[in-house]
Amino acid sequence: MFKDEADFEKVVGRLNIDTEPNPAHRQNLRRQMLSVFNQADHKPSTRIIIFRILRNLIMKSPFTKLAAAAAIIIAVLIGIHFLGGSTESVAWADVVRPLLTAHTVVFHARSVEGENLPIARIMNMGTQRVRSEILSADGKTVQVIAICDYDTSQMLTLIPKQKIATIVDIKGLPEKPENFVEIMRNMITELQHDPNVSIESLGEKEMDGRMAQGFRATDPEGNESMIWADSQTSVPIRMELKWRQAHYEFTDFEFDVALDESLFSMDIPAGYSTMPKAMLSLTGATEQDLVEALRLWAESILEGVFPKDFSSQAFMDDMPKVRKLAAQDIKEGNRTENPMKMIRGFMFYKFLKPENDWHYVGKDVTFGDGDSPVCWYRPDGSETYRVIYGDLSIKAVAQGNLPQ
Amino acid sequence: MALRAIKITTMVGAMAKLVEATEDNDLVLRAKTQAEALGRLYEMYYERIFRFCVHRLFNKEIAEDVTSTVFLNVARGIRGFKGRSEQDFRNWLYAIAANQANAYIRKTSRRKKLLAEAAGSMVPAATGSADISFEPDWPRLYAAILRLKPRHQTIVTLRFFENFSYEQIAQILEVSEASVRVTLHRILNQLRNQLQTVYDGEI
Repeated sequence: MFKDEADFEKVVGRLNIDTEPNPAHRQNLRRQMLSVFNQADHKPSTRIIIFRILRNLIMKSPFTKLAAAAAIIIAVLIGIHFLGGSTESVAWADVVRPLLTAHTVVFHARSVEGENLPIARIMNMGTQRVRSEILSADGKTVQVIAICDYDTSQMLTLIPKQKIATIVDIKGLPEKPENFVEIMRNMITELQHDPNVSIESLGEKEMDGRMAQGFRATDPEGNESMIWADSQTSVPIRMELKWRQAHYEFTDFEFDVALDESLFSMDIPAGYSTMPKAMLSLTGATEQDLVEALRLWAESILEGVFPKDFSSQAFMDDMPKVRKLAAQDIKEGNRTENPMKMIRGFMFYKFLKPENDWHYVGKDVTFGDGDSPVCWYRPDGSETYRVIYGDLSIKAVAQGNLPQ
Repeated sequence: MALRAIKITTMVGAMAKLVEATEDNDLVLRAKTQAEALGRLYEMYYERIFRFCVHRLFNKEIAEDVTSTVFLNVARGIRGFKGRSEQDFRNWLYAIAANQANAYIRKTSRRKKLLAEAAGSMVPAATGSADISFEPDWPRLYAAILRLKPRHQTIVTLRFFENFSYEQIAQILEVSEASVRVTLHRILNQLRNQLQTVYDGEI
């Protein structure tokens, strides 16, 4: 077995690999490349790096913005593929016309990290408001409605069953809010080609009773987006987004369905009781937010033990206890703070990259147990890990000394 | 006298390097608008990128296809490329190449072909050779490499096949040098663990 880098180098040194290029290929490719260069539009191209923008969108917002990002990816992926790398406007226009001319977009979004997680129905009608309806797992009941107004950086949340309304002030939304139909159009129009994103065809297969073409885009970080679109119409059927710790699926797309403006009203409906205004900051979540979410989950929701896993699925499994806590909070007039704390804790976790090497081992650990680790991760650029213990103390630990 | 000549020669050499570096930097800026400059960059990098692709894919024809995709993407994207120096360009180019090679490898059906190609790449050790602590089973090792995350495969290729420094790899992958060191250490551990069953007792 090789012992170290030097040994490994010797193995590689023993390989007999012919890397002599073919002169004909070299010449042909040169000619082809310069031809493509000369044919390209001479006005300065707007190099919009789709995944960077998406990352920004996602970093700055929760679920509704993620869904917005999805719509953009859909448009761009279809566009990139059918454009075939050329700038022929006819093919481009034909393919993206349904997307460019859509006035309204409706689709379903759900996390696929576990089973029976709620589905969100996302609606936008070209204004700067987005309506999200959080549905029950069977899709039949609307549990929560969230209407986000990017102009005023406010979100109205409504719980129909209990007739409770809350206005949430959101910090950290993009400086120039745009509705995502508009963003989608701008992206299609401006995007030429991002060489940092590789697009791969997944072929054709039957999906929901029709033939669909699949594509996968991968960014340099390894984040993946997959889309299946109707082979005949190019209308998206299904899409998956794997981004760091998050994994979402988007389905049931509808374009240009009639949507009533009242669906996007920020007025509190009659008969609803209003809770105190809440605050949600979408600026970068920190380790302290993670610790606070762990504290809340272990101390208040599970009354003394840490959850079996730090995931959406585990949170949903603990939902009866979450509701109990929420009821208590409502009595104490404190309903809005704890959910925001949980959101920020999850934000920190979701944005961890694979190289941050996240591990959760908190199952069965008692809250307050300073000897038992709950989780650890390695911050960007750090050689040591941050280990969080049951008493929520944190220690910097070298990789070789991590808990077994 | 001889010492003075050496000093002058050294200075001239340093000046030449400086001029060369300046020209290269200018080359990248000019390549955004001038085909001639882009052609020169192509000549500078074609072979390196092709070699990188061969080392990732072990098949010259596939490597040619991927190399073509890389340079055609460059032709489309160079006008909007924000980098200014030759180093920026190199990092960008290798990032595209790594990405394209990863996209190719990701297809499971293609892995079998790559493994078959890789199997024929190993030169048997000379009898009595003592310069290595084990007789490597290259196909198995390559299979283990293919099981790594695409990004980790790229690190292995850049480090061991292209002999890039940690600093250069860090620039291409846009991470810290320390992160590359730690990741590579973990990659080698991972490969060692995967092969442990094969070479049981040799560790």
